[in-house]
Amino acid sequence: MRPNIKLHLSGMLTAAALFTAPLAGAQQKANAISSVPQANFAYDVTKESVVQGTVISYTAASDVAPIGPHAKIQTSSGVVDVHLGNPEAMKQNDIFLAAGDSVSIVGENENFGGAPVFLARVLHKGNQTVTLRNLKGIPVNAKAPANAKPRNIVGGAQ
Amino acid sequence: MKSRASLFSLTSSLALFAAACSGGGTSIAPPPPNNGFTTSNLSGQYAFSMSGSENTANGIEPLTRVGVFIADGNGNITGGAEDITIFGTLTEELDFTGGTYTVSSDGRGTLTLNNSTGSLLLSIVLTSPSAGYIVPFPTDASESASGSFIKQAAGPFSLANVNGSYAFDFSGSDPSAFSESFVGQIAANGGGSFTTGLVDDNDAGTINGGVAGPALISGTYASDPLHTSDFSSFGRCVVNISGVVGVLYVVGPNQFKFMETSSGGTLTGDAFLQSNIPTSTAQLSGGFVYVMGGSGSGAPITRGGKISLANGATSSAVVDSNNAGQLLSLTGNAGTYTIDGAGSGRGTITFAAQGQTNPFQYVFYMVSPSQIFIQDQSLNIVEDGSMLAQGTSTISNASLAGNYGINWSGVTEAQQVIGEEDLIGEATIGSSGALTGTIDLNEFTVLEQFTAVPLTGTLTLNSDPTSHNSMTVNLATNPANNGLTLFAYVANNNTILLMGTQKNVRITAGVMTPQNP
Repeated sequence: MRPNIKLHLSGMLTAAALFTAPLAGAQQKANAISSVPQANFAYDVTKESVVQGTVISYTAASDVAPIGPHAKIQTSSGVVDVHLGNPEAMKQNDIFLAAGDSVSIVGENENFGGAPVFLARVLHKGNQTVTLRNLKGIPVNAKAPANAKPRNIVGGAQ
Repeated sequence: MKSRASLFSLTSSLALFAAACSGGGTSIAPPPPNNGFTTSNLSGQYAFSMSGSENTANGIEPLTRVGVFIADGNGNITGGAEDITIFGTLTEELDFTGGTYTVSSDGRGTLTLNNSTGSLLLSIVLTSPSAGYIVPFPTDASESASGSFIKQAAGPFSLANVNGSYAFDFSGSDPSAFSESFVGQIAANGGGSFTTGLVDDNDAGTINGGVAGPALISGTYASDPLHTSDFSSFGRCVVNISGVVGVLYVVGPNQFKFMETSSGGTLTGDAFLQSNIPTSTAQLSGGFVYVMGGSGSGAPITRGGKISLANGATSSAVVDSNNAGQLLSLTGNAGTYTIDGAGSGRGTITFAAQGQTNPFQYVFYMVSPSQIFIQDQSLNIVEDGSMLAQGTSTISNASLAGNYGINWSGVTEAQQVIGEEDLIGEATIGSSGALTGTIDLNEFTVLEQFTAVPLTGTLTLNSDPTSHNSMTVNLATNPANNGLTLFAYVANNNTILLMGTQKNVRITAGVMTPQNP
């Protein structure tokens, strides 16, 4: 059965986009990468850096881990493999990448599946900004309503 | 046994959705084996729930359904109701006006549910006349999901049907579209109040707002003034648990199903009445296996494992992780576990593994000493699932031989698109570990549906079969999906938990439940 789907015409801003991004310092920091693959590797905003450059290629479905959308970015210090979270979040926010695009991406280096990958949290392209992960590195699943807030359980600590 | 719905809701809701060209395929299968099921096995009133993905005008959104259908034992659906939530799009209640169903001798079947907006086709597999799994296969390929159904107790229903202390596991998306796991214990007074309770709310990697320990919760449940007859007829009532607003459907005095409707998120899952809850670590011991699904920093994650508990110490821990396609299989160091002495059924498990910077940290809530909801609280990971006792029976090919209902769900890459995959069907384990069966596969990723697909494969037991065992599955889809690999963890009563181990391709979790016609 088809439920009565209504068009959702919320504004362009997502709640996730309200996360602030440190854009100063346009070069990528080289974080130490452990040689041992980590099952519980943890995103850490204090280790964030910025990748700034030009898109060489983009795929919504990479065949290397982490599964999902990847972009190769040409930076002043080389080519960086960037993982962009959930491709649906990009699509729903009307932000698309193509070869030649200039982008600035806030995120963090990780060693994933034996290779370095830059986990993108905030993507800037032109005057568009989309938040792809929260401050814990968790990818956004879909486009959140403009007034959405994280859960606030009415109760409190034990 | 916990419902599968909440086991996979995170895996589903975090799915890296994408749409592609339409298409589909059907394989010609031989007649099903006679496992003893007939149409008359599906008879009575059943509560169901599922979670997955819906292709909407906005794009692909998390979807949850919970409701009741009434089967007459002769292939007809005579009534029922359901609630639907599509993230950011709608939430509504609809009544079933009719429908049909089939049940093959292997327990597989179809279900067509009609309401005022049209018809929905679903695939089902019975594990008994009282329970089974369910996956939608709409003709327009607009959605996929996985869930379960279970026979309701006889009505009419009243507030008194929700009474006592329940352990629950609700999961999905929070109002900001990030993954959330809401696991806890809550006490109902049989009169419309949830008087007290505890929750561990892992919301996008932050536990209980960053305050250590579980949070206190309370709430209400009542007949819906907009649908007053739904309570007595279907056990449906409206719920508010500390600001999480939704509906519950009573299964019986021991269980209800919950779905968030109007507080922004898509939490859904099951609550089970607690029994024989330990109050010390000495009262909970033995081997346990678990499977969880959710989100990590990479993207979707599933985790399975085995752990032994005794007097506050963990041992023999094996943890397998498929983190967005990165596979790791680790042996845990000795660790610790705790049990709430106050009897809430809450406990914690902590252990490290060689070479791992961060420890594995789990919280659990017991339904009983053998059936447990488990939540991963390892740093910046959101996932939950089930942990089941293994018992002391010997595990062998001979002991596992038999017929099973099978269901898995997760995220897969197909034709260079990432998205949800749901599988449902019947599988038989032979006395030498050979697998045969028939399944339906909803490859929502590429809007393809395969029905009546022959399944073959092998289950190869580890030298220690209480640990992870290896399963290989071949699906005669077109093109074929051959050599799918999974870990299989054997619990009490031959329930087998599954975790997909296909590097870079599939991040799935599932279950095989013995069939008892």
